[in-house]
Amino acid sequence: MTNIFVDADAFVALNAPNHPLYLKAKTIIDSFSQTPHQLFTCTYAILEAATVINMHIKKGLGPIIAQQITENPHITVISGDEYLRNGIQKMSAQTSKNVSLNDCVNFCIADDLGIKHIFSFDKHWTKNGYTLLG
Amino acid sequence: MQTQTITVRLDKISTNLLKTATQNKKQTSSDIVRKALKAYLQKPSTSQNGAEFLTAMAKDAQDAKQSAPMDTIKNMDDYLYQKTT
Repeated sequence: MTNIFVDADAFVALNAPNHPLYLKAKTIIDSFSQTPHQLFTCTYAILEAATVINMHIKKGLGPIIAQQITENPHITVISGDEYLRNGIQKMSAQTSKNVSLNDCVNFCIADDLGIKHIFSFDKHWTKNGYTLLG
Repeated sequence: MQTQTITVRLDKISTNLLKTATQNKKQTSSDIVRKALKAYLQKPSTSQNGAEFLTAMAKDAQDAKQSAPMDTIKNMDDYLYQKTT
């Protein structure tokens, strides 16, 4: 079974059909859809995705997407609060100023759960040793 | 007694239970949640429904003809930077 962490930008991409990353995101899903997998995400990623979707794609869609993600039984939502302190420590150890605290909390979750495969387009993941799908 | 309760939780672990455990700190400590998650990760699964869920999300977006500015999601950090300045 492949355990996959879904980051906020993947959710945003899947909701923007006019953007090039939309097709890339669909291709990525096709690449793992035929093999057993389990999806994970973080509460903070949901906050981030819902905010961007609501502000830039469609007003009112953000909370709908957030609700779909949190209520769907096929994606496990991890509480970011549980990893906030470790995320702060990880952020302080980053050499790049562009790595957000959200990123660092997500890194800690992936580390703790042994997740190596990430559904995201964010290069910060690869710079920290993870494998982006696609 | 507490140990027995934890064992039952691990035996009966499911996605819904994980969600409840991660979201309800009053009932479950973070250590128990992490143990439960790790046990869940080691459990064999043939689920392919996660992909179906994401595919359905993408199809809904296409059907609704949703659109976003082309520069919105090139880089999430760029977006966040713009939002806060």
